[in-house]
Amino acid sequence: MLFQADDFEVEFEGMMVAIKVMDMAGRTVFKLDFPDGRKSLMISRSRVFDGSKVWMSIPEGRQPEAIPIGAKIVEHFKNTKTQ
Amino acid sequence: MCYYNGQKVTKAEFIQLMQLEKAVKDYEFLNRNVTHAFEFGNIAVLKPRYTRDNFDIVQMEWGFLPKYVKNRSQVEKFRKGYKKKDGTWQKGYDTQNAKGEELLFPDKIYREAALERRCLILSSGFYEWRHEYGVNKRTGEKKKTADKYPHYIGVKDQPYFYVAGIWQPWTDQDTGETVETVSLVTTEANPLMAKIHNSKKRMPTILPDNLSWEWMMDDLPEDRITELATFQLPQDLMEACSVQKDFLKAEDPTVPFIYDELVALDNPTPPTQPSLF
Repeated sequence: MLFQADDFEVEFEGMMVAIKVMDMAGRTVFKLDFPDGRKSLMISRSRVFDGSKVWMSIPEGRQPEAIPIGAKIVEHFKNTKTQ
Repeated sequence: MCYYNGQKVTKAEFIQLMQLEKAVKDYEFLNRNVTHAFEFGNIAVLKPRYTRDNFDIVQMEWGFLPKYVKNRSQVEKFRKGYKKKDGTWQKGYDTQNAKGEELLFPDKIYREAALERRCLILSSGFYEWRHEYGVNKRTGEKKKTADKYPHYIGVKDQPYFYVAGIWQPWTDQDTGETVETVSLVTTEANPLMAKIHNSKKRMPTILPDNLSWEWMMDDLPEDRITELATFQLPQDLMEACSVQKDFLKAEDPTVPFIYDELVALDNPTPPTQPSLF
């Protein structure tokens, strides 16, 4: 398992969520650690049936968190590229 | 077509997500801070392949189960003990640890596994309790019950290390479920471990890389098996510190904690009085 990029943080629901970027089973996975004590969450981008890409919680069940935090991660990388 | 998290995905994508799910599960398993001995849970084990040229990292149930234990209800009795028909208590058997010196004794349940099914338990560190009999402030006498101070022990500059193990497949004869069970091999404590685990003076048989490979892969004669099973890692390769008594609840249970009343581990042990006779 390789750690690909430096850890970073994104703001979500008024708190700073710590994010670790990892390579697992040939995919990039983001491990999210929340300061409010909730369980860590792993998310990854998956291609769905219509060809678009959607953030998925791995394992299933925490999709309502995966999608908005995923959007924050995309935003983080866009801002990093433009800097 | 398949669904994952309520999203429609192709079968190929679904298979990849399942593989990813397994990788995440394995990561979370390896990333656990503490595995308690008495949870009888799963631990990470390096198990040699049949070809003996490589190994797999698998999960095994910690607590070796002999074949004569038939089902989970008997497992419970075997491990925790039970009241016999005559009213006396039959003590349970601790098979989480196996004494390296005794593995090959003819009457031991471990003999066949020690000869044929040796493996390595993957560890990032372990905990032992130091027993100290303080003085009762009221009476000035030595306490009858020891105060127990947990210590975290690891191998210097090694985030992971290997402990000798022996494994045994076990089938529940009621359900047909088969699991692999494992016992951790122990040896006599080195001087550092004797100070910490001062009630039993034992330590895990931690093997350096070359001996780990030999233990797991080679076809060994009995005397060599015992030699490796009783290998004692030198104390200067190990590091240890006391940790909080409620370390199991801590976010990082390995954080050192100093007890004012406890003599530091690096204090020299007083030399033993030489025999005059």
